[in-house]
Amino acid sequence: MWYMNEDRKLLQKSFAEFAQKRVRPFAKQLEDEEASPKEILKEMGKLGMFTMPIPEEYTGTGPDYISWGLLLEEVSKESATFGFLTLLRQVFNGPLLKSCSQEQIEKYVIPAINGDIIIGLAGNEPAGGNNLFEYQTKAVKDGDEWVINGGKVLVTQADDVDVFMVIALTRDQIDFRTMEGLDVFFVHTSDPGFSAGHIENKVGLNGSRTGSVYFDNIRVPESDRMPYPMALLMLFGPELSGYGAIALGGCEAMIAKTADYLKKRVQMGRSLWDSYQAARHDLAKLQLDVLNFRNALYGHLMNRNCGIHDSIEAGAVKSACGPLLEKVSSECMLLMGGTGVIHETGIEQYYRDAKALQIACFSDKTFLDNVANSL
Amino acid sequence: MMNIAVCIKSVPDPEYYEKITIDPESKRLVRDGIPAVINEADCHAIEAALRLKEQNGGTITLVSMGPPAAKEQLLEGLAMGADAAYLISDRKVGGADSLATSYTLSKLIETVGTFDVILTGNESADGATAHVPSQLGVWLNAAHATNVVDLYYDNGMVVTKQFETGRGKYRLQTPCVIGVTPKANEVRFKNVRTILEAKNKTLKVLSAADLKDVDDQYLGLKGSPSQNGEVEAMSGNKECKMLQGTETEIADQVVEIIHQIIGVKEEA
Repeated sequence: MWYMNEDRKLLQKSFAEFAQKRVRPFAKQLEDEEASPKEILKEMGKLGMFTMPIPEEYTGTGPDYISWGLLLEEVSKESATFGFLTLLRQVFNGPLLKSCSQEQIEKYVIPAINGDIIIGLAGNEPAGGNNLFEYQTKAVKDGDEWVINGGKVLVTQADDVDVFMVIALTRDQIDFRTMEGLDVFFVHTSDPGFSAGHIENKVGLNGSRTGSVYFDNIRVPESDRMPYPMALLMLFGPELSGYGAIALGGCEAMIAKTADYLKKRVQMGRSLWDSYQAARHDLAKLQLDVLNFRNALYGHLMNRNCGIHDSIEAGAVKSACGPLLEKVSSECMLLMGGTGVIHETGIEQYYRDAKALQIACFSDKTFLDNVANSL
Repeated sequence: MMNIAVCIKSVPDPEYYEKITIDPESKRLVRDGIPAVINEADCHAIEAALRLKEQNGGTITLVSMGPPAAKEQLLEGLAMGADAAYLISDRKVGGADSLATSYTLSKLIETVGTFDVILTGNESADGATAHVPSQLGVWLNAAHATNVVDLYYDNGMVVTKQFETGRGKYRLQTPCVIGVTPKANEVRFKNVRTILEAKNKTLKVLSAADLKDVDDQYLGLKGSPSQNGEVEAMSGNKECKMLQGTETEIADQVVEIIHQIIGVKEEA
């Protein structure tokens, strides 16, 4: 592969080994029982897997988005949900280095990079994920502390992180130009006044424990308010790119699994693979689609390595990846027949994940205006 | 401080065993198109070395004999946390049996440093002779132990050996050679930071001429008293025959079939 080098080959092999030995045995518990992935995520942090693309002065290993993508790709071959949860660990830390004080970096960001704590984002409200101006969660200053009241919906790992970044209004009106009046606080889930509510039963990315959280007079010190909250918006670009790597890993796993099945499934003395050219060609066409997507994805990530962070390009990756995952999973299920639709075969979950992926971060449909505006 | 050498071998990836064939002339494995990996037991030897280094300080040096492509497995060993690696790659050492291999490795070890402990995997996944650790001990005039399932340093290397009927504990004076089995430890996952350091560490390829005090008659094919004989692949054909009759009759038929297979005639 044109984007691989000595380092990346070693990293990919090591990520694949971790995914097969640690994520594979856990994937079913995550998918079916919504078991907590926290311990494995922390283990990944301790192995340095969240050090990309963090600068070395913050215990990172430098800005290599290719290796960053390889981790997501390998993990997602075992579970798209686990890939999604890995992505969240990857995308918060870089922007946090820009939005936090030095004290906050030492207290929260470096421990998150190294797997000592898990940080989540509690942003979304019933008013709509991107409709910040009508948010209801408020923080009111009381001496050296802030008192937070309100709640959030569709929060990933609602009851399974150590610390949430909570977006709250600190004025009655937000300044549309400077966004003053909108702040972000670190809230510990162990703090009195924090509670997690209903966990949603959703179509895909099962195990990510999407749910509601509530803040009832939570007191937060001034030192836990981010000084530059708008820098957090930087997380959305890489997040969009990351969904591409998740979908890529899923597609590759399904194609490999389907080819293996067709070669081993024997009827009347011949394998389905040898008997049906149509089946071989159907799978070959999917493989071509996936190879094209892989080139586009890693070309895009190489641009990031070169300092080109194009949000439309990232959106193009995100918009393409969900439908590709849906198409590959749908076709692979058909090629495998009855076996394909059985849960334990491990194909159908990607079909459901594809739908959730098209909505994660924000719906693919909301993004189209950004593209139109760029024309 | 403990200077540790670990012998590693590049072997065909067991995941691809179904695709491996044997060259009818040389009787050697045809490895074309089969990815290579570090022999599994050798990974456990590296893990044992990492633990000894963590407890006692020191350095870990990897040594190997093989084709130039084996550099890839040495690089992976460096990515696991070893400090330096040396590969002897030369046609002169090719075609070696376990005796010539262990001689060459012993000379490589003597050439690249002075070591307190030499660890090897107990056996390789391809040759599986398990000769090399003991032979190395003899060539290096050092104490040696094989089938080791536990090891640590306490005024000498304390090792637990696995026997068919039990286990035995021994203290070896250093320098010593230890054949480590996969039971000895669980190999850790590689750390991203350690992986990225690998390319900056010493990784040298040496030829036979670089070895100190070497006697050519013990190298390669010339130094190998054992050579591969006839090798026959086992037939993978499966035949199914349904036996008929009462349970006793079926049992008699089974005995008869076994006798036919192993060539035993029933006594009258």
